[in-house]
Amino acid sequence: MTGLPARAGSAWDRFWLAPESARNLAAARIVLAAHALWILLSRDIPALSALPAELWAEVPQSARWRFLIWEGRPGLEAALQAVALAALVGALLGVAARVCCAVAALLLYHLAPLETLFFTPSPWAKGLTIPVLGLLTLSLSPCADALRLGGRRLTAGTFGPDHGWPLRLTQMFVCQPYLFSGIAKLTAAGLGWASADNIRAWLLLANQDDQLAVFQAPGLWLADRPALCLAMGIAALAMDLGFIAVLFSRRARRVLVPAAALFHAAILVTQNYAFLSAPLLLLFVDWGPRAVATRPPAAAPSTTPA
Amino acid sequence: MLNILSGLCFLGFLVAALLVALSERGWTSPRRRFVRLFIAYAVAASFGAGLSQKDAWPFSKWPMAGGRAEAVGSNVRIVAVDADGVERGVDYRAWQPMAFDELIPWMHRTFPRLPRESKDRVVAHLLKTAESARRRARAGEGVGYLDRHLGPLAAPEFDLHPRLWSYPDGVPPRPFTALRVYRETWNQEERRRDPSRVTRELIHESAR
Repeated sequence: MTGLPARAGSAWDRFWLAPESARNLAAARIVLAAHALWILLSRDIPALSALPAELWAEVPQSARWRFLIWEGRPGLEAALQAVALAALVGALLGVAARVCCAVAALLLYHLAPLETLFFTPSPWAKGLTIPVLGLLTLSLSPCADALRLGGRRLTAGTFGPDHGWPLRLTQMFVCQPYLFSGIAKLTAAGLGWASADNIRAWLLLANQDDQLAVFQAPGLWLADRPALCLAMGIAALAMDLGFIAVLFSRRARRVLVPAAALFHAAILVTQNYAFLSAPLLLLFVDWGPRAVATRPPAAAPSTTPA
Repeated sequence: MLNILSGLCFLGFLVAALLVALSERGWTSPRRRFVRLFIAYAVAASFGAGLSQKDAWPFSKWPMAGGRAEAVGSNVRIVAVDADGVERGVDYRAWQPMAFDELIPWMHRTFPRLPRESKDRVVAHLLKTAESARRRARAGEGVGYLDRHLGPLAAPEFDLHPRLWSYPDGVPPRPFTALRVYRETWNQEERRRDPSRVTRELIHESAR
């Protein structure tokens, strides 16, 4: 290969296969497992299998086969959830971590839609989307080379491309909610999404139904101030479309990750939406030492700096 | 059709993962090629869903606050009727294990299409669930049970909801004997000027 394809391939490898600290990859394993445990322990997904048949009336067969979900089996679902919980604890502690990550990911792919299937086959808002993709990715990697219970650990300063690509891919999954919701806004409404009128309308929608609003005053106060609505719209769109920069730039990460945390807090208070994947921003924290120099990926086995 | 394609999309992700795992054991080689394939597949599938705005969960389109907000708001409200015939609000946690965020949209979209006898069965189930929650809450045993493991640290729902029954004294004292399902509709701007400007239509009432 020569020319542009070769350069593109090389840039692809430089990005994805750049070395990364084993500790950061292990931290990603812990964050994803802890997050999934938090969600599972805050729900009773198996009980939803026992809902009256009428609630399942419009669930298509294709959706049932897609997730292997058939209602009326709460006992089986409880057993599967117990296995998922055990696997997540294993992943959290780093005990048989790769197998545990794979088992947890497969079971979460089945359990997460069970929570919403009677209404929608896409449980994107329920907090388990990124753990499914992330845990499966980590199951292919040496994600327990550090921060694990028992066994022989590599030294904390271990780096390698095998620790890099799974972490980067999981971080990409965390960036996508921002980017894709920005694209959803532009696709459906264009740049006018950020207009003062549209933001006011969203704020009214999120704050006037007393069944859906815990915080009403901040959102309604903002809704009555067009300049602030416009600023909020522009900031939200900029955050959505710009957050992906954290994947490529440590400097952007230092600014945008705390900004995103504030962004979610502001949305919670002004629009009453709790983005349950927000804790996954911890995947961008640097938990370990950095690689001293970037080496060509093909010749970069796992190494321990002297 | 979208379900089938989405299922195949995830299956492809699993196959790509399996190839990486097999290459690590030397059954397929070289490993680096399959790692590249896995990464490319994950990038293509996830960006395919996001850029096309066609959901293929877990490759989600993440449609948060997409589009223009509607000028007219609409929602379903389920109220209980107690033994004295008085309408009472129901705490959102009373419907657990169902989340309010799925139950109410389902009541809005699917419930009106059901035959009468199916509606009666659904409402009978909801009435039993709400009355059971009322009794427990009234006895000071809390509302709902999804905080059983993590207490106040339990994950909330995506939409926040006010807690109507925070204290036993605030819980309706008389048993629930029926449910009424209303559809509420309002113009956002009119409601902002006058919060009482909400039109309410009874869409179902359980037999008492």
